[in-house]
Amino acid sequence: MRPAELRYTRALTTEDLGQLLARGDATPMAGGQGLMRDLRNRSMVVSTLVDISRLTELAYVKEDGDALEIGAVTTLAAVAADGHVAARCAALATAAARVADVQIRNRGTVGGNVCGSWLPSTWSNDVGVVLAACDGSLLVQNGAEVRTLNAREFLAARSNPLAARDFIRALRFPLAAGSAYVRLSRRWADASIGSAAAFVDRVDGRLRVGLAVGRISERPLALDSVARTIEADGIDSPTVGEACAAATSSVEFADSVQADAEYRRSVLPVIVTRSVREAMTAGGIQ
Amino acid sequence: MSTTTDHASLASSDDEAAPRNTVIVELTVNGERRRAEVPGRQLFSDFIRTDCGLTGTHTGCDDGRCGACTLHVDGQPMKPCMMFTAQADGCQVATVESLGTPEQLSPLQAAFKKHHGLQCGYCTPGMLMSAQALLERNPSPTEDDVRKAITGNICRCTGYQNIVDSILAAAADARGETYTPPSGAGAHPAESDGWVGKGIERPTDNRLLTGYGHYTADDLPVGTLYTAVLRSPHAHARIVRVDTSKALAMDGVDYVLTGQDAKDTWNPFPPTINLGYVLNESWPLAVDKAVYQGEPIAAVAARDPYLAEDALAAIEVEYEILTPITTIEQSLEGSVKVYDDWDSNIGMDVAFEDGDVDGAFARAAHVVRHSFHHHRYTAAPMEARVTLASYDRGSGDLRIDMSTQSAHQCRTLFSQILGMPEARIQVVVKDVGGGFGIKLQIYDDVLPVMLSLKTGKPVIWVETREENFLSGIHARDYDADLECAFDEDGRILALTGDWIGDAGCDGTNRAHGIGQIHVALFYGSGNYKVPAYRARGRGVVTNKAPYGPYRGYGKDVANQSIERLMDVAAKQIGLEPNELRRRNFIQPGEFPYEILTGPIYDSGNYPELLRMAEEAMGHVNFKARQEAALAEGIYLGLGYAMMLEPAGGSVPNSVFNANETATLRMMPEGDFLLLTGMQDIGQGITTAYAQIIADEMNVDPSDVKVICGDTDKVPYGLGAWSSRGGAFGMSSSAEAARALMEKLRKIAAHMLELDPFDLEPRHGGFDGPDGKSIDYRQIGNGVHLWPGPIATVPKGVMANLEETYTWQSKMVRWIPTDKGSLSIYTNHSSGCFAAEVEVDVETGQTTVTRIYAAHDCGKVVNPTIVDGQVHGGIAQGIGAILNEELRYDEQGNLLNTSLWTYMVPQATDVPRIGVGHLESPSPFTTLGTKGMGEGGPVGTPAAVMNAVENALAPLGVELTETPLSPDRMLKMIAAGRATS
Repeated sequence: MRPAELRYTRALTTEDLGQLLARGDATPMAGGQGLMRDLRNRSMVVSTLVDISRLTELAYVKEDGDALEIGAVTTLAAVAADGHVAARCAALATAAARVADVQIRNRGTVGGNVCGSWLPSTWSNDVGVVLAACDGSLLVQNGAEVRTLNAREFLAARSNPLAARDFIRALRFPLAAGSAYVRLSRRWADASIGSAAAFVDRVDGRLRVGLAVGRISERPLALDSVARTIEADGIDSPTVGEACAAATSSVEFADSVQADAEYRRSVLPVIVTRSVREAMTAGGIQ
Repeated sequence: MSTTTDHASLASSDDEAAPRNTVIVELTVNGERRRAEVPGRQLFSDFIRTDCGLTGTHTGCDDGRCGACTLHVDGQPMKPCMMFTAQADGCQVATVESLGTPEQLSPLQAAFKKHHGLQCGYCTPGMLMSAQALLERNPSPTEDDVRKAITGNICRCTGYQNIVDSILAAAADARGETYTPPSGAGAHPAESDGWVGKGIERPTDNRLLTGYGHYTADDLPVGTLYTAVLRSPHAHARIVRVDTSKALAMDGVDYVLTGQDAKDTWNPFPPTINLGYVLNESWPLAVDKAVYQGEPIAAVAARDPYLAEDALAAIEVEYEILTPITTIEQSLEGSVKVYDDWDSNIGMDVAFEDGDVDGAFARAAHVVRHSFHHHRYTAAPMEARVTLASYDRGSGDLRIDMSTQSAHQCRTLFSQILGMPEARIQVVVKDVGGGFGIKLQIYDDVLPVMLSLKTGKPVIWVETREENFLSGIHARDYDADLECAFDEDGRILALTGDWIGDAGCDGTNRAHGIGQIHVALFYGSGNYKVPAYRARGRGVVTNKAPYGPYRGYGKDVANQSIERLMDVAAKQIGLEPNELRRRNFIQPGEFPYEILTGPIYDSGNYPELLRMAEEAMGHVNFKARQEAALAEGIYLGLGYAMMLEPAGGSVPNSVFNANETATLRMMPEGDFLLLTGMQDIGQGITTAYAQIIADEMNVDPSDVKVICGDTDKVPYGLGAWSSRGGAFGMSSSAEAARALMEKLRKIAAHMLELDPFDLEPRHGGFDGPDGKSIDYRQIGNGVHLWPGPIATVPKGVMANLEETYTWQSKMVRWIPTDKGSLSIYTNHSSGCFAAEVEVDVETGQTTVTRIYAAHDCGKVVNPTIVDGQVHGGIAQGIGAILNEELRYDEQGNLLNTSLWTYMVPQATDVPRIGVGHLESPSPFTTLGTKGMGEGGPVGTPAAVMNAVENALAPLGVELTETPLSPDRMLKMIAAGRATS
């Protein structure tokens, strides 16, 4: 199918964007690589589309204090190819490089990816899993005001929690000594059927773990209690599997043609363990 | 303020009060500046194809998965089907047409041609653009880099290996190095002295590589209307009311066709196969009842495809939802019926028995049982179905351009359904973007034809990928119950097989799939000697999509059954699986060999094929490797499957019939035109047939033009299916050439005043004694022009330069014996497929790490093309057994209607493929050739399953369900662990 009638506009500055959003009927689109699927099958109909892919002021990678800040319209390809990201946050570099394929990463953006959870046709969200694992945040602008949102709360929302005039300026990823992203899929360039991001550090001689999983349920899910178990008992402890089961006892595991819910429940401890091990190796932590 | 090219920005549109739905864009495409006002919703792929006329950019899906449309935007590969034209405003765009030309290929394009990196050519432009971008950013890619760089581009024909080699070769060439592809182990046919046997490049590739292909949607007459089809959202529902008035009143809408309207005007679908089956009466659009999700309800013809789709939402339909049948069990139970006028849901019930089956089981040392359910899947060619109908109101003629494998049968079926004289209808097939069996019917293709007749205008239907999954043809989906009696040495005493296929709503009219279960019944014994055999084959209807052919057509069912049974039996008997195979093979000295059900196997050497495969896979060392890996917690497995590929089917009372005609014509200037009813659908027959004619006529292949796919030009022929080209197409072409050679010899002798027996054929003419010689050009000119036929053509020879030959198989026997044996296939190609796998028992994921095929298709005409067919078939077989599954829920909703959810292999899913050849010429064809091309999906799935079962032997897993998806695998591993 092809999209229904719509009005196309473009914002070249965040000021433009603010004004367009203020009209009330505008939907921002960055790379559009998820959104377009819904526009084409008409599961989503928009009256005005605001193309924000040319907001060059929001396409950047910078290290700010102890966090990496990525502009919202930075393409996944740019993040995946960025040497600084690879060196400082391997989990993010891997996640960005594993979204779909080269062509889609050339248009798709990190900001768009974390909003993927709320599209009707998909709930793909790789960058969001990394953001949840490191307990990151989003910089959200409304008019002239910029505020910080907790990423985990943002990502867990049933529907897009942004207010009418809000737009995402950037994502902030607190850094750790080692990080990793493990992603299972039926084919290499395919929807994830379970992914895990881990951030590990040694703080005062003690192991510190940040952990989240994706595509296990329909939203990225931080697993703090599992992280605490690993910190206390070590990654090789049988209590890790028990902690995974306990942490997800009330979670509704997702069912899709790629993998059923039971599968996702089964592989959860596997991907958690693999991601933490890989992050420890990457961070030189034993 | 906006810049000059940012017409869509806030500032330039802010002052307009009314919403404006068009955008002005300025961009550079292939170096040419363009300015246009386009709808805001226009897809960039439509702009490139329609507004710019750059039809090298193809579309194969609707949601950014297939990558056929890939082009460069500001130097980066992107998918224009996932972009609005407005988003390319101000950009530099490059399409495939920017790379090279048919006369001067770019280095990358030349590498694709040299390494046979394309077959149908539909994915090729996008593939080239992705590869070009890779080489620009990485001049020294590894094989893994290449495979990952093209995961956004799906190819359904090549199995990717030759594409990967093409890209690596182009990279090496640019670095001044030479790339040598790692060759597959095993014997290759000896290099030939003549053209037959040479892996020559395909001349057709120049245009397919440069965007100069002509697929059906590429050339549209002025004023062509576009079709959009409203389909039933329900699997089983009575249609209470259809109101099209609002849609018809919309701007740009010319006509809305309903089932009742079509029924009032035309005929129902004629049957396409009937060997004692139960037929249904069905119509192109549902009339009273929809019998599957996706059945057409109404079809719109409108000025552009956007308006046509807008109109669908305005059609009102009231349904009364009925209980759907979605399983074989429900269908057999029968309380709900798909067709109200049928006695049950059983459309086919056939049986065969010969030999003392019960006695054999009574005295058997071992009785082995194996049952499994095999899932449903489909071909998914990269070009879905496309039909362009142009009814000429002045002449009353109807021209139908369509992407089909069988132009003539389509013409006849159109004539029957429309009640039009057949000679008024011309079916034209240009380039076909893959078929694999699903383009052998006129099902939805008749909708644009009807709309053209109603409107008097050209009408095109370009099937969406979703439509292709919903209503395109499905295959497999069967239950198999097998039982085999062995003596104490492991020799087969008797075999029984019971197969039930889920034919969806139709396996005889909309499509002709039900016969595949019938084929399975005939070939249940595979490559083995079976002295007693009892079999039953049933096809039942359910509320799913129509059931049709797909690469295999029941040979896959038979093969999967017997080759899985062999491994299961070996385990039970306590023999190595390949030893059990060896003890039961039909031996090389026993051909031609008639099996109980009637087929006569022409030739082969099964023990040698198995030996070749074992050698290539390092069989003797594998166990040690496997044990060492297992000690590290890694589960490796090695599995084999013999492959039997009956080819050249000749099925009575069907569109799969038994003759093929070729006309070879010499032009007055001495070059040749071959007219064949066979169809090139990307497999490359026009190249291979030119090689045959070149050898027979002593010319070069470039002196031969091969024409197919135009019913006004070529003799009645049956097209490309059942791998019949190797038997029917090649034999008829060679025989026509031999007849023409004799005619030319007589004319040449007459012109030279010699006896025909005194002439020696030589390149491009004949030599006689005493230095006398004549060229074909002199003969052609002499007969047609200077001086003319009276002086040059001897008495008793007709004054033309062509011969027509209709080839029929001598091996076909349609009169059944009292036990019911028949012979409907001419050739039996064979092979041994071997796969090595690694299974991650924690995640259930299976990786095929190596695969090899020892292959025997008789005389090989073009080994490069044959290898390409084997590669592509193997990739489809890997996809089939690991990932491709059409899943319906209990309400009959199809759950995967996109290439995101129907998971055909990407380049990263297919390992390096080794191919070795044996040549056991067929005694039944003119050149000893055999049909081939279906072996990959026939042999690969069982080989992979046997490998996986071998890997998981320590866990006691027996595989009884397919595909081997990770979720199923974890369950089977858990069950195996629980019982072992």
